[in-house]
Amino acid sequence: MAVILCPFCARENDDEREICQYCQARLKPIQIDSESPGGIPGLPQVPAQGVFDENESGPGLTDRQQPPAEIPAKHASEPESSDWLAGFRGQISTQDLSARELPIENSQPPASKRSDLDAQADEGSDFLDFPVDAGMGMDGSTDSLLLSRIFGDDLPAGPSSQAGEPGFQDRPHNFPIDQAEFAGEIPAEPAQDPGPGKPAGADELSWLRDLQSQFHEPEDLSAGEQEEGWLDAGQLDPGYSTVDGERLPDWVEEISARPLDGEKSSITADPASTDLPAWLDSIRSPATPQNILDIPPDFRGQVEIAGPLAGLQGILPAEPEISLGRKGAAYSETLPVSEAHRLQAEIFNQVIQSEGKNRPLPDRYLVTSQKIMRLAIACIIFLAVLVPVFSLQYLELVPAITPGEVLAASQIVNSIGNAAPVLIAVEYDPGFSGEMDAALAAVMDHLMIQGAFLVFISTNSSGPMQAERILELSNQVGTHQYASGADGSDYLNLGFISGGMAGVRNFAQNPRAASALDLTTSPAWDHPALVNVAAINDFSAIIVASESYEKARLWIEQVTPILQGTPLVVVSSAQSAPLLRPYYDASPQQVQGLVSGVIGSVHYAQAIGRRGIAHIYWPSFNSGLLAALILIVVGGGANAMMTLVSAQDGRRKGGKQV
Amino acid sequence: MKSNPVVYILVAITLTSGSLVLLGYFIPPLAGPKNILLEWAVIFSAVLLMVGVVSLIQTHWQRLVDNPGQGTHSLVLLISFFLTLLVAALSGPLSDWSMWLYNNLMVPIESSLLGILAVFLVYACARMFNQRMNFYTLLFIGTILVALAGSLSIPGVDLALVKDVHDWISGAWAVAGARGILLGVALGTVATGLRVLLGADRPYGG
Repeated sequence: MAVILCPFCARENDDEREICQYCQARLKPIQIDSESPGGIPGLPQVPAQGVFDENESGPGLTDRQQPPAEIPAKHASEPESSDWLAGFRGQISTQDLSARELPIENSQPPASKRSDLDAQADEGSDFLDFPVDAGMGMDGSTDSLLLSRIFGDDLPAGPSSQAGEPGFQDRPHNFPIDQAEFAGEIPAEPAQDPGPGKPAGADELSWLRDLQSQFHEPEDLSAGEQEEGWLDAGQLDPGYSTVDGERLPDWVEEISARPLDGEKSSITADPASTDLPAWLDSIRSPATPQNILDIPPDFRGQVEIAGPLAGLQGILPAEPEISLGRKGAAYSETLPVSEAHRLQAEIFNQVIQSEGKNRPLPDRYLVTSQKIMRLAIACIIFLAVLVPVFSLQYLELVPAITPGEVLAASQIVNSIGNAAPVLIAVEYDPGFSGEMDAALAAVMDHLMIQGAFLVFISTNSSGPMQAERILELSNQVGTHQYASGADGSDYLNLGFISGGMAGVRNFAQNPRAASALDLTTSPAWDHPALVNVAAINDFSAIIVASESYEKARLWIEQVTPILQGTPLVVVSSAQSAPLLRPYYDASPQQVQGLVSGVIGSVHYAQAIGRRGIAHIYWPSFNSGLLAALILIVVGGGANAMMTLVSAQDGRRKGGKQV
Repeated sequence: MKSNPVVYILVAITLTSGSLVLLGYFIPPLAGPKNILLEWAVIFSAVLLMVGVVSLIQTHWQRLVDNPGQGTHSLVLLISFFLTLLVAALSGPLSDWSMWLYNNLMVPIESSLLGILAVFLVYACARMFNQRMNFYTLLFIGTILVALAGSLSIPGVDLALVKDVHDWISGAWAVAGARGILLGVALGTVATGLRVLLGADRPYGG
């Protein structure tokens, strides 16, 4: 499909469209429908306005409203359309003699003017281009036509005034004519028609003189002064002939030979034989919108407000169907969404707006079912722990089978001789003292029984005080009373070593340098029991008491590679025992003995035939353990049943699915 | 990205000291520098502990000054700190006064917190079926019951089977799981050490 590029927006449009679908600019020129006298079909028929006033009897002015088919008849019947020319012709013919005396250059446009015409012909934009038909001039050019109309057969066709410039006959047939210029060059109709046969006076030819002066001819071409010698015979071309001693072109001779009446009769006698001449049609008032439409005069001063010519004043109005027939599309300001989307958007908006608002806290009930349940569990456990202290002594039954790691630990301690230095790392916090004291007290009791020299150290800031505490508890178990003093002391508290892993490693490599003084700021290694201790391997055993798996691992990993035959025993809480068990089960063993929690302490004491702190704790520990077991079973079972029941209700009633 | 030039110095120090300590375990002549660096690390740690104590006091003092009516906890902390410091400084860290503070304040307070924890653990186990009841919940609760029952000694009740199951779980499953955890920890420690030595991980900043 062929397309047409819009001259304004340069977009492609269908060739059938007359108006650009993008900028509404006209793609095709306005064509006056010759069939409809009003011009554009569908528009109101308005009287046309031409370049001539209505009072003037311009060419074709009266038959402007007539269909083209009737134009020749009009020409034949209406003398006004041809009277102007006829009168003009008659005026010229009566002045034949005077006109003959005029030089041809007077009637021709000057050379500069002709060159302008040629240039305008090349441009061809502002001129009405009409074809040559029978009504045209002799050579088909409008200039010659015009001159022939003006001068009739007496037109002295001469050569071009300047060499190389085409004359009238050399002009192309489609030579355009600027209508305004043409109108300007056409002399105004004389105010009073002298009538045919009346010779025109010298004043009546003043317009021709004005025309001469307008063209600025250097020569004085007045009819009286100009003789036949104005045209030098030597300047004529060979094709020119002479009339009465003057050389004239052949075509001038032919035109001159034709009778004027014949020419006149060819125009007026048979007007219907030909259509309206194109030149006459072009002279007619153009089909401008102002002519077609009844536009009030004040409208011409308005400023264009739309289109590419917006802002300019005096612009011809656009076509009515473009400027007046459209109404802007109404676009809704609301978002075209569905109802569900709208509700979701409102909810989302409410959520966002509620973010900045302080929501009141829900009422806190002093008594809730959960609180009651927690209090009940606490009370049951408390009673379970407290009651065995006063009764239920039969719960003191301890397990008969001693674990292997506990038994190994007791054997290691049992192998320690009197006054043998034993390093004890107290690495637990005070909160775990209930379990860890019971676990470590059994080992301490055994060490005291063996008469070992105890050396305490800790990487925990509260470890030195915890060592003093466990020493006091161990003294309460048996008859041994370990004490610290300047002379005859039974133990040494080296205090706290900083640096964590690095401190432990540093102490393991050089104990004397790492902790030269004890907590009393006395030289630590001056004790007789420690005289022979220069490295960590010189200790008889190393006991690490920690509730934390990490701290126990720290000692195992940093000290074990240095140890050469020195046993390492770990006393831990029950929660750390599973993680420390692999060190005991390893081959070779990294940990030679393991005592964990109250149960391990009970086993240890049972193994050495002693009753330590763990045995004091054991009835309450056993009772509380049983109570916890029952609570978990009963409470868990009840909650499981409630969950199952609620799940069934949910399936039945559409409630919450579990 | 711009880097602070100090970072390069820190990386150089870390790389040098870490390499020396690491090589000191394999090359005996480097044991001397390794031990020196370890001693420095211990001293630095002690200094950092003192810096931490000073920072703690400064923070709570500033909070008490800024909010006179709302710094009750800070006031209690400051009073406790200076009282303990005064007692330990005057009578010694292992004196009767110091041990009285330790035995009658620190140990009961922290032990009571763990006692409450025991109650809440029992409550959580009982409520676990109400929150989520699936196979893993049953497995978790069943393991807890077996562990508790295996530690019990109830006169007149033979729990030999339960104790065997307990020993099997703690001796096989628990040890296997713990060993896997230990291997993972070891590998993670090696990877972290290498990252620090290569400067990829800079816990000291930069």
